[in-house]
Amino acid sequence: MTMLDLPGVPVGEAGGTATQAVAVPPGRRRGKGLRPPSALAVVIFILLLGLVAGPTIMVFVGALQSEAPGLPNNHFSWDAVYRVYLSGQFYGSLLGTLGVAVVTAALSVVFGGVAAWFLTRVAVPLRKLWEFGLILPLFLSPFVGALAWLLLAAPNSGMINVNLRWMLNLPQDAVLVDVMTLPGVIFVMLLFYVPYAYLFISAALRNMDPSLEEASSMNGRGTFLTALRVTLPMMRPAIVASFFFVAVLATGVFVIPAVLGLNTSFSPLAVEVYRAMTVFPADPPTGAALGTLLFWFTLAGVYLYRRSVKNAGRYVTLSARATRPRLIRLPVGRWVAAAFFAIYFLLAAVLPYLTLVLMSLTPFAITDLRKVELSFAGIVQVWKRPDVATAFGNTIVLGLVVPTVVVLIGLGIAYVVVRERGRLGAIIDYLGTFPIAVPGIVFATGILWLYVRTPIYATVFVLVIALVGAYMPQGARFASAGLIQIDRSLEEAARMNGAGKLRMLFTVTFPLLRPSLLSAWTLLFVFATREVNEAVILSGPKSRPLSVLAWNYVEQGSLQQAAVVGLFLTVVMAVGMLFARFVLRAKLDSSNL
Amino acid sequence: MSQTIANPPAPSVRQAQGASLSVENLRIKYGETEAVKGISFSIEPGEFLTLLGPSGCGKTTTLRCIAGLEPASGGTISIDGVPVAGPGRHVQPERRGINMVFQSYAVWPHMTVAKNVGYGLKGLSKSDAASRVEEVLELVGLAKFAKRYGTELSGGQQQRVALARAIVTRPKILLFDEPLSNLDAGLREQMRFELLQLQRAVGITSVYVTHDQTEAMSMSDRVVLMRDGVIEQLDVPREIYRRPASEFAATFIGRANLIRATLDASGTRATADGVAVVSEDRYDGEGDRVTAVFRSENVLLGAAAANLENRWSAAVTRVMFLGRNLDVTLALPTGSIRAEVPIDTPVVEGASVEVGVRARDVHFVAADD
Repeated sequence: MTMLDLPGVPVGEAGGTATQAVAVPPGRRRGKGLRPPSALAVVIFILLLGLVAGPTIMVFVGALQSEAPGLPNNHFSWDAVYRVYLSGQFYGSLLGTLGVAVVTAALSVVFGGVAAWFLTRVAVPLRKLWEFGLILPLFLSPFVGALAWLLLAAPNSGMINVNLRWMLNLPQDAVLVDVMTLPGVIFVMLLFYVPYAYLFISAALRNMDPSLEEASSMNGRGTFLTALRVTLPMMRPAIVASFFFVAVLATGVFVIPAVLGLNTSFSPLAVEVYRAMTVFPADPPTGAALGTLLFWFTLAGVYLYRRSVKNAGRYVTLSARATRPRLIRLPVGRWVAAAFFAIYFLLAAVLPYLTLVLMSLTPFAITDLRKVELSFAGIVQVWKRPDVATAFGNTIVLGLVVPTVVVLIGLGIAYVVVRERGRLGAIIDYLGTFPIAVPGIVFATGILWLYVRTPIYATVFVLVIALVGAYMPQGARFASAGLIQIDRSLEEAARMNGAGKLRMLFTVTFPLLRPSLLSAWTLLFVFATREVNEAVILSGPKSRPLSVLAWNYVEQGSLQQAAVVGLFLTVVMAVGMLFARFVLRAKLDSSNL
Repeated sequence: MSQTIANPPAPSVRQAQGASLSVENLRIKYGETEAVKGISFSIEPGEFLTLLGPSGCGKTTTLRCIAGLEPASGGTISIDGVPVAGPGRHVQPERRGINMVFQSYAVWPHMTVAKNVGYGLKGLSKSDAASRVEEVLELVGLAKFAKRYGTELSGGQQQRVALARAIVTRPKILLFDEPLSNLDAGLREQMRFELLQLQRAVGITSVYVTHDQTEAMSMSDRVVLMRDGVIEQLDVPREIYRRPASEFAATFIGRANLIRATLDASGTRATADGVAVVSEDRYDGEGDRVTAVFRSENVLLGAAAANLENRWSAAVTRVMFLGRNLDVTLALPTGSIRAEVPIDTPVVEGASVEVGVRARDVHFVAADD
């Protein structure tokens, strides 16, 4: 995906600046092909080579090694590649991964699309609340969510099973819900991926000219037929784009299936990568080779996604008049819809976090509500551990440094891509958005190979570098969406008034982009603090953030400690977001995500 | 309009503070397409020159190239004889001593009016800068609004902020990129007048881009009429109106009647389909295929047409009442022509009428085809 063909960037909203929309005279937007690339472009290009191209190449280099990185007898070898691609050992895992991804993506699109239609077209009661509930999971940690659902719906000790047994007088071995299954994993993934589909499709629905639908009703079609024959076909590009977007995410996801254990016949490729990298006897070349296998599929997904986004341009139907669509009054349907939204809100946010708090307050992981005795002993005990203090520090370093650096480099990328263009600009555009195609855990294996012999290895700095590279697309996307909306003559006026490029950037461009950059910073803060996929491969005992510490407790089977650390992590994220929202006044709603 | 108005004072007579500008053989290329194909013109200090033409003719590109916002791909641009763009040379826009009023005004929404205007003042003490800003805001009538933010102003007020910001730095040359095109018609007329007064008062060399011929005619010392990246005609407004250089120039500015005809040996008389057209000026172009151009307000009907050098008989096909005058469409054997005549002229649709044009109001240009 390149930044310039992103879907659903609502015009005139995201930047939050009230600049006048102005027709661009012909010629303004075209390249300055004859001028050599600017110093800024060259610097950004070199940074991206190190942050993005380097690690990606090292994944392939690592796949062709015989031993773990840094070992003396390491040599070139096809073994790992043979094992992964030809031996058949991982075929089941691959098919399972792709199957889960396709099912998850399809269901996300169905649920997200229906939700978007109801929230943009139907007078659903409490619309604002449900909209908030639908984008809230984007700011929550999927890892914490999966952990909470493990506590809630594990087959034997899960809270739901334990308590419903005595409530309904069922035998001791009755299993009512089981999240440690394939449908369970897909269910938890859906909780976190439906919001993405919702964002894509609702943006398209909002941008659609309402008179297209009104024309259908003038021609005698009812609500249902209009939705089916006019709205749905118009939404096709957004639907296809969100399908591939979610499919790419679901292909590379590690943390949800890993937490839920998945006692089925296969484990997803991302989990296999993790096992090969960390579980004794570790086999990093196989991990890297598995990473390359995963990479081909996410790359194909991103390619298909890009193509569908490009097609979406043909369907853009922004009308000059900003008329809001007339809301449909479904007498019964709107209450049914509200009930569904309430259930989603409950399952994705309320129930998991209640469980997390409750489990943190019950010292011995007792899930039977009759026997629960609340106490802070468990929390205090975990709080006092020295590794928790270290993890807190690491999480805060990640949460402050990563978003700041990503936003700054992202601004540079956006400036080169949107304003300077040229051939180097096109290359930077591709490099900057490339990490979308590389699952976090795969990217981490490349970083490992790149930095294993440097002094920063196993420090929090390696993590910072890895996350900066991985989140570059998000940083660039926000900055360029903001920059596109800033009329270029605002910058040119500064030049005409005698300001050099730097003064122009700091006095005009930067202040006008502030709202976009703040939204970007906040979202990246969330990403960086909750990150598990890469940190789990790259962090050593001293560089573990809270998320990895919690994961380690899950691995050891200490779910109560994991819940406490998960709660700490949630508190850090919540404090950060409240700070961004109310002190920095960052805007975080569906119009600027 | 055919009456002669007093010539405006020549720019050299006015108090002039600006620089001279010369553009020589300027070419601007975007990839494969050439937007400006080798144009040359020069401007005296204090002169007001307008680049006029339909959209896509290269006028804005030329202006941006003078500003330094676009690189030239050929030719030179010199300010006061010093080249700022030329082979291997591109002076950054902030170092050219030029300022510009943008079509979108480009008033920075995150700064107050005073901050906007004072942005370009460098090397001045705070109090000096503040008094300069105040002085200029007074000049454009915005002194009360100094503390407001740009977005809290109306379009016309934003326009004045942009103007104040452009003159406060005392540039050597002031550029205008269609500054009035975003305003309502009434306001546009008022701003046109104010803008011109201000330019005359400050005396800055000005280059003005517009596609609006009324703006070009009423404000400029000279007009550069452009089409497809080349200069079609460069002259004072009245000459362009009275003696257009081509059919395009004739039809782009004002309403012109065209009669394609074949010139005879005299060079002042041409005929087509039995219609003879006589002019006072000899045609000195190539060939004998010419187009006779005359303005609709110079077409006289009925008794008024008697004794004129050009007299034809035509059928009245349509009469429209426009309030101030009548717009009459007439059928000649060569095609239809339009006449603007006083409302008391006795014309009836379908009737035949005597049509007359003075020889001095007819002008021959080369026929397109």
